[in-house]
Amino acid sequence: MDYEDDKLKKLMQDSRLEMPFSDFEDRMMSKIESYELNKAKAGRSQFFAVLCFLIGTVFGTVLNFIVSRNLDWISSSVAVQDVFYLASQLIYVILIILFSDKLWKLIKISKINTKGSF
Amino acid sequence: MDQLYIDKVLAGDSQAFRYFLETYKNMAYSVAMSIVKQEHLAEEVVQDAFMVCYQSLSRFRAQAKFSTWLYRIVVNCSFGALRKHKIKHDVIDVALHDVQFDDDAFAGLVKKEREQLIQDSLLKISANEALALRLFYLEELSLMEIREITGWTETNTKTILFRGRKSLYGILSKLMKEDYYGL
Repeated sequence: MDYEDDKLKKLMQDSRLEMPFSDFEDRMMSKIESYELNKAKAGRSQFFAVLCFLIGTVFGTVLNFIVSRNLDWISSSVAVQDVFYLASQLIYVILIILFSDKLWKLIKISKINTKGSF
Repeated sequence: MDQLYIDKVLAGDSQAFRYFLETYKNMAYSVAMSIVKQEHLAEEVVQDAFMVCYQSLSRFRAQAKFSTWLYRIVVNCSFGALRKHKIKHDVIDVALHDVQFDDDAFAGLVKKEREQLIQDSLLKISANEALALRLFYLEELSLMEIREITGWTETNTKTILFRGRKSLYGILSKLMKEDYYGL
């Protein structure tokens, strides 16, 4: 199949295009600057998200421990105490799972943004 | 030269990226225009491509040419934009207009007219053909490099080039016969 063509090569020299927007570079550079700024902000937010998660986990464990020690104060019935104990533990586990999921997604997104897709 | 600026950017000097913008913006815009065929969309695509390039710079392997890598990003962003905006271009059936191209008449036109004519013709052929013609005949890339950028097979690339050439000559002849050019 013939595709070598010097005439077309010469002809195509007239097809050279120039970016028609003179402020393209400045707009691109300000976009890059704001990306860098947001990246730094996102890094800080991610750090605080992990920190809050860890504090919340410790706080939840302590709270559950306190609740289990003071069930007499809530009710004298053992059955009711069991329900309270079970509920507090269940809420704790659900919250941990939900926040772990959010945190995992946040870390994944920031990894993609840092590495890019190419 | 490219590697020097890549190292600068990776070392944290984001201003060094201006070098890539200055060097490659026109070529990136030409490639994007071949595919999306709309000025503003092409500019948007080039912005996205440079952003992806900036974010992925740490993953660029020096074995490949930087320009080839950037072309690939621009091509992917352009086809992505076509899909996103659901754009379909009307392509002229060249078989109907496949007449002998009169290069003497073409050479007789003033430069500005010739440029306009070529731009108009490239807008009227399919995205793949316009892209292949620009990469092969204008940027003078090898078939291997075009394959690397587009992901086409060698046979496919040759076929697209052959068809593109035929389409371009056909459309050029048709446009030159129209009253606008007075030929």
